[in-house]
Amino acid sequence: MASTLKKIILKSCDGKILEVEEAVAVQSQMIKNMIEDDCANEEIPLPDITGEILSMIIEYCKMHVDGENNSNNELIARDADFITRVDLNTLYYLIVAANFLNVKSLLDLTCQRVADIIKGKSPEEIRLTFNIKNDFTPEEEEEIRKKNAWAFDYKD
Amino acid sequence: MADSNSAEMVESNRDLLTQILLCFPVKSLLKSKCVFKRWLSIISDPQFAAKNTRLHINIGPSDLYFYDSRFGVLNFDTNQNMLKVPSLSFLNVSFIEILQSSNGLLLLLCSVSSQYNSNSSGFTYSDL
Repeated sequence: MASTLKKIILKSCDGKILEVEEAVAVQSQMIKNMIEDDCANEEIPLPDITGEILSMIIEYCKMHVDGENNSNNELIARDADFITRVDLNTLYYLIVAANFLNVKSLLDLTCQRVADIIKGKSPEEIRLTFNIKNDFTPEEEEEIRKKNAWAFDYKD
Repeated sequence: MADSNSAEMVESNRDLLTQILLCFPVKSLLKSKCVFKRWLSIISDPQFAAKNTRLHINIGPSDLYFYDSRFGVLNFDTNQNMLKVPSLSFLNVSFIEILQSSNGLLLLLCSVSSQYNSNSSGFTYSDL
């Protein structure tokens, strides 16, 4: 009967075509809306998502569809296993893609992972994690540090 | 660390950055105020603070901070059923139990059968 299941065809920005079962694809609220509006009969181009990231998102959605009958703890353990395998760059790309495709549980998981990564880091280390340059003067930074001395003096 | 493209795609999107910052533990959030000016503006927004409080409402108090005082920071045992205050000697009571906390206010039960509502950052209290 598997062949009668409706497939959704997704095309990544680097030209990779992926066929996805509808039940998996509708984990994305964006694709779900397109199906409801009858706009998902041809391939759906995803301009900012590479094939690699798209495959990971489909793996995540499939895991959640297959795990529907599993206990909450099992799903949490699988989520943790999935997300801890992801490096920082991939994590950022996953966040952008999960936001674009509107997969809320994946967006929550990836944002929380960033928070876990920066926990205990200094402002300079946080800047490195996000690849940003300090735009405060030393005086301004010192003023903020003074006002929030508690957070700087004690460990997380 | 992160390559500039992937990090910038996330960091330059205010909605995404806000969503990530909302997940930060409170100490990381305070440190993040001096990371970048845009971060300071997001974290200082009252709406952000309200959302953050709602998201972390069930974590309970972790420690008590006395602003500019000789007490410094008192760490609580974070077991919800075993909250203990190491020293609140200024209240002049022998037994204290924390009944509840909300938005920086502590509701304390003391052995003199009075209840004090103490603001943990401003260090004021009132007899209820």
